[in-house]
Amino acid sequence: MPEPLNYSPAPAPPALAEKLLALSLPAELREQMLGDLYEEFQLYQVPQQGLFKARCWYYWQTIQSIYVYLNKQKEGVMGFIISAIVFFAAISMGMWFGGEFSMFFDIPSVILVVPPALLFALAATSVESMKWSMKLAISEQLEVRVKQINGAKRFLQVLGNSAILMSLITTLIGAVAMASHISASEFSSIFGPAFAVCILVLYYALIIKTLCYVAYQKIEFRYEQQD
Amino acid sequence: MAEKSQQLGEFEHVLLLVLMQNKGKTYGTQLRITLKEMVNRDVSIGALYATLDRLQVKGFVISQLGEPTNERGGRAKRYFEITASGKQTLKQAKQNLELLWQGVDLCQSH
Repeated sequence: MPEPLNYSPAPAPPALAEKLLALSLPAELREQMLGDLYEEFQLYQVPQQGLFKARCWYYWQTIQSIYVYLNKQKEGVMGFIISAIVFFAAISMGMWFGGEFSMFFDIPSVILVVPPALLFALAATSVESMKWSMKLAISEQLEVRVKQINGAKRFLQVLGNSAILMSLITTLIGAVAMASHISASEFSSIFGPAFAVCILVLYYALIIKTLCYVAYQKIEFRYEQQD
Repeated sequence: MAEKSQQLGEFEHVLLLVLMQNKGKTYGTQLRITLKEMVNRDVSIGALYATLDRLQVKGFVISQLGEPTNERGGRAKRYFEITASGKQTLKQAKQNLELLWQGVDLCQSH
């Protein structure tokens, strides 16, 4: 009986690097550049340098190409990602200066804001609108219909506003609960921590609103350009 | 004197020469390999396409999308070709350089 052939397919370039590159390149250059790198990776880099060095080479090409197109892609994904990184870095710095990180994390507060706001936004728009809002915020999706743009914008608007409204309602509930249960003797020891947890919902809602606002403005800017 | 938008940068000059060397239509991978083999210059794919884009805007290069192939993961090639205007600019750049090199002796001590 003949031995089965030990066939191994040619290794593909690193998926993460390909994805990053695809997101950061202008749409009109994406196909040919990814194709050129794919071809060179399989036909030249892997046979000549081995798989590990070929992968390193691919990552290096990715970093260099992202750097080249970063300035050219004002409305591209990198701009949004960098803004988000700077935003979260600024928040983290604020929390670090404020004291312990743990005092800014409260799971019940997250549950009070995020799921209801998401549900309201989905109820007011659709799952499709949610997908489009994410696609348009982080990719160069040029072939898009006006209906999809409007759906994405509406989703972001409802999500951000619902988060703020939910946080105001739950903060008020917390304030009423505090006012009803704290006696004068325990006020000084209990009010501070209870108030901190009570307003955490506002903090989470403002983060959501800020991200939604930036994504909304990014989509609107592109929409104006398409007109 | 040529307008600034029609002048050639150093890498633009090199790329036009590589396009001439490859005779006819050529694509990104071929250009990178020729650059590496002939002048030991390893440019990133991003820098290569950014320069080709500038050359197209200046009218020195034209491009055309080819058919998708399996060895490229089903992606198409973009073929580049130097235009008559590109050849003329290259010729002019060569003449300018030859003029500037006249009388220059690198071995001459100061």
